[in-house]
Parts: sequence; structure tokens; C-alpha cells
Amino acid sequence: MTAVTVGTALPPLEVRPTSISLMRFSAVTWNPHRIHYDESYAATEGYPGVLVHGHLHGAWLLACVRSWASGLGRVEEFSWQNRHYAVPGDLLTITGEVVDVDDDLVVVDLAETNAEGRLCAPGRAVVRLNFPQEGA
Amino acid sequence: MRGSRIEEVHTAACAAVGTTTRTSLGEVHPRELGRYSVAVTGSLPGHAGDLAEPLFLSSVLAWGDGPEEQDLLPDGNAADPFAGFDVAGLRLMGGGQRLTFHRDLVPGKPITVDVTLASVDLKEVASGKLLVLVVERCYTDADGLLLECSETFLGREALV
Repeated sequence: MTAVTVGTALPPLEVRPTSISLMRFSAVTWNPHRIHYDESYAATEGYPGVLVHGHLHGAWLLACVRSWASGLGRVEEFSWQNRHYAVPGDLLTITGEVVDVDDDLVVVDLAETNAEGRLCAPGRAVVRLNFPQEGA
Repeated sequence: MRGSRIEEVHTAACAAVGTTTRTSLGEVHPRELGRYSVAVTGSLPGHAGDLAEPLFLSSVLAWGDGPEEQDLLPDGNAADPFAGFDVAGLRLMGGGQRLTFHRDLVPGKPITVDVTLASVDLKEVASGKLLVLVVERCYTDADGLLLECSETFLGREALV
């Protein structure tokens, strides 16, 4: 049985957004916003390229915690905020750390940062473990 | 004196606060979930599968056919994304979501969503006026509540 304690670090997830991913995400979510696929439009708003969808930032944060929680439990609550944009080619790193353990409930703080260390999207998840933590 | 466009939208949005609209979304096909997963993991080297599937429902912006192309705003968005007031003249961006996953989505079961404009705020920030909208959605199927989502949208005056 894996012990989950405050301070437990999740395996980091590296993301390199591609323009194909962005196009596919726009298509499957029926999102027509030009800022995600039209570079000339994105430039009119002052951006260096098309922007990663806010929902895609959220999806990657959720992917990080679900990847870690696989076999341990189920993500019951999740939140994130879009703070800074990302464009295709950026290297984004998602990290997570357990900040609270209460019996079978674990709270994980998440962060997606770019190569310059800028926080693109903070998040938080609550995971219900399949087993309570001894001594929690 | 006539207010700015963002103030007009703020006034219209305030009138819509608390209004709930129920919409039948139909069934989610497994192919849609599969495509969603591929789109999410396409930028994750070495990863595959349904790592972010619970976020599918709240990521979809429109469930119907959507407006004709000539009816979209210059930025490509629909003029009436919240079914109640027109946001033409604003640039709208997603600010994030807060979700509770009650049960896993089961493809093939009809889904209904209740959408409520929960709050509206017009703020003065360094870049000018900022409209903050909070939209709450409850997704259910025949067995009950699937997902609760509270999403924040940020609106600024369009540049053109």
C-alpha cells in the first residue's frame, strides 16, 4: 500500500503544446474562437501565437493528478485558474504536492508553469483514496 | 449619456442573474470522448488514454450546430454564449472552473444541463474595465447528478 502524506510530490508532467492538439481540441469542444487557430487574429490581440485553450490547461492539470491517483483513488473535486497564456512550442511543466490528508481525503495543490517559471495555471484537486491513511 | 459597450453588457447580464436554462444535450458518443482524450494527450509525449475525460462535458462550448458562420463575432465566438444576453463588442476569455465530479460519464445516456448565471461584476483593473461572469452548470442523466461546474468568464472591450 502506498503511503500518502503531506508533502508527497506528484510525478511532474511535461507538456509541449502542438498546433494540432489545439485544432483538435477546438474541434471536439466545438470552440470557434479564432484566438486558438488563427495566428493573424491572435496577433491583433498582441499575442505571439495562437493560444492554448483555458480548458486545455485544466485538462493537463487534471491529467497530472489523475495519472498519480490511478489505483489510489478517484478525483472528486478539481479547480483551476487561467493566469498566463501559452502558445504551441512552449514547454509547460505541471507539478503537484499533497497539502492535506484527512482519513481517505487528500488535497493536492497543482501548478502549471512555463520555461521562464511563470505560473500559467494553478489548480487544486481533492482525491478520495480507496483506503484511509494510517495515522492521518 | 450612452455608456460603454462593456457597461451595456454588464447591465444586460445583471438582469439575467439567477435565470436557469435547462437544455437536453442528447447522448455523448464514445467517439467524442476518444477524440477529446487524443486532443488532450497529443501534447503529452509518452501519455495516452482518458486522463482528462471527466473534464469533457464542461469543456464543450456548444452542443447544437451553433450559429451560421456569418453570425459569429469577429473573434469567432457566438454572440449569445449564455442564452440570454448579447456579448458582441467584448473579448471573452475563460478564467477557470471549479468542479465536483459526482459520477463518471457513461456514453449513450441522455444528458441534461441546467445553466445559471450566478453572478456578474464589473471591475476596474490596470488594463481598463473587466466584466467577470460566473456561470454554474449542473449536468444530469437518468440516474441523477453527474457533474457540477462553476466557470468564470472574463470580458474586456473588443479592440476593434
